[in-house]
Amino acid sequence: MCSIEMLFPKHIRGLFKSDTWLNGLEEIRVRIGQPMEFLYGTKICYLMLNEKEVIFCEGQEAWKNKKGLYFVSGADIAEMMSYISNYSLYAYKEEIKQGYITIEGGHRIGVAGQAAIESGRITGIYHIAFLNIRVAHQQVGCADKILPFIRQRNSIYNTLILSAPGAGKTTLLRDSIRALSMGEADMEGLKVCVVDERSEIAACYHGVPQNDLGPRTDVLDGCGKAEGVLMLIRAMSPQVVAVDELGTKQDFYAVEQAVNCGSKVLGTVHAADMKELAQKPHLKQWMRKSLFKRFVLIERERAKRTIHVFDEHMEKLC
Amino acid sequence: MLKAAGCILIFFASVGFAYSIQCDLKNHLQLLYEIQKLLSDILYEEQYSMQPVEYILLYKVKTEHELLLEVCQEIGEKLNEKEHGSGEAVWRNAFLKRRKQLALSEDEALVVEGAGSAFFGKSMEENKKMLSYYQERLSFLIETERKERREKQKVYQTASIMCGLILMILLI
Repeated sequence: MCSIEMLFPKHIRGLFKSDTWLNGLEEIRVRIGQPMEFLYGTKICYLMLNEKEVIFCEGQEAWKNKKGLYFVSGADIAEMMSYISNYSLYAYKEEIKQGYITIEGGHRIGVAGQAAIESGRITGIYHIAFLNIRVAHQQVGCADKILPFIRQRNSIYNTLILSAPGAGKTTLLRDSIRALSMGEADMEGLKVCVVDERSEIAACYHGVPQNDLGPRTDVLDGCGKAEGVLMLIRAMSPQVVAVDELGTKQDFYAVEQAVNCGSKVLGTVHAADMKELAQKPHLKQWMRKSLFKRFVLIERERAKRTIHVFDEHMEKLC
Repeated sequence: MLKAAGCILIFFASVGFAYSIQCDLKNHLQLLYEIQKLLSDILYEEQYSMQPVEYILLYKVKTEHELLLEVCQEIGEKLNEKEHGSGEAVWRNAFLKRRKQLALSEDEALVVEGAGSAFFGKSMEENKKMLSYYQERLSFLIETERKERREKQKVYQTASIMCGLILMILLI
């Protein structure tokens, strides 16, 4: 049985069709008192119970036949939370505080409900009423195009991957890590260390990466980037340090430390284009120092993605 | 001659019976201690490793009591199957099923079966509070059992020897 199917209440499990989990399922939205939503790219389907026959109906068509829709109850969500947390919510307290839980297979479950706040900080989420199951899709080979441009003899250039949110930075970073760790015919694999603050790159479940990051990759999961990078440099002697979503001053300080220690850095930054990148306060200094030699820009227009690689002089390489 | 041999047999049987009762009482107390330790171990593992209960029961918990180990394995496997909405119910049912084999009294069984609610809480604080409540009740039962053990031993030993003697007199 599909691992995602096991997250649903027992009485719902039998209702799914065998192809529910195929055909590019990206997200499942579960909201209390609302119908269960299945997102296949731009297509939205709903679970319907029509005279014991289960059908998935698309968008507006489903709402016309509102009576047939399956509405999620509070008990359904409570049961799902038991299965998602393996009956052990205490073990996921820190993750719930961050708003998500990573499960076996690398799938991530976003949670929302009533936030518990202490001294202005979120200490937990109670009365969880909304779930977003994001189905893991690793795109092996998507970094092949950029690898020749970021490689430098037996190492790589310090590289930043940038794009607007949701364009595929983390996916590209993940595959780059895998490829660099694996190595190729003309290049040996590199020792890559990953600081995976939000479990997005490796999607660790009980410390074990659920995504393929190659045979020479070490992962520090759930640790802050600034602390994690420094710890890995001291402990694991990485050739490449990979981090996602650099943003704070501490992150940039840690990256500088890594570069000064002789490790190469492969990171991502939110920036829609090169102009926006140059405006980032901490990045200005790096640009002046030419700390980063390669910039990979991902542009997304609807379903189409284009990748451009720039060097330190902002000259386009591809 | 036959009467003498019969008397000897009855004497040894009554002594043996008294000894087995003594062992049973000792083992029962040992079982209660083992359960107390098991509950503490599970909570300690939860706190230390922050792993889910099923993982702890399947791979981390080590108890020398075979039956308890069997119960832990069963609970772990049932949780892994994800067929029951509540972890407490899985725990309760597993102990309920083996209540006779474990030879627990009504009060002891109620505490042990309910102790599962100390491992499936939303936070460690909640689990700790629940467990301290159940540990307190279990400690009280152990203390009572320990006090009663000597008296029970004396009564059972005297009763079995007396029965043996009566049988011997009847035989003679």
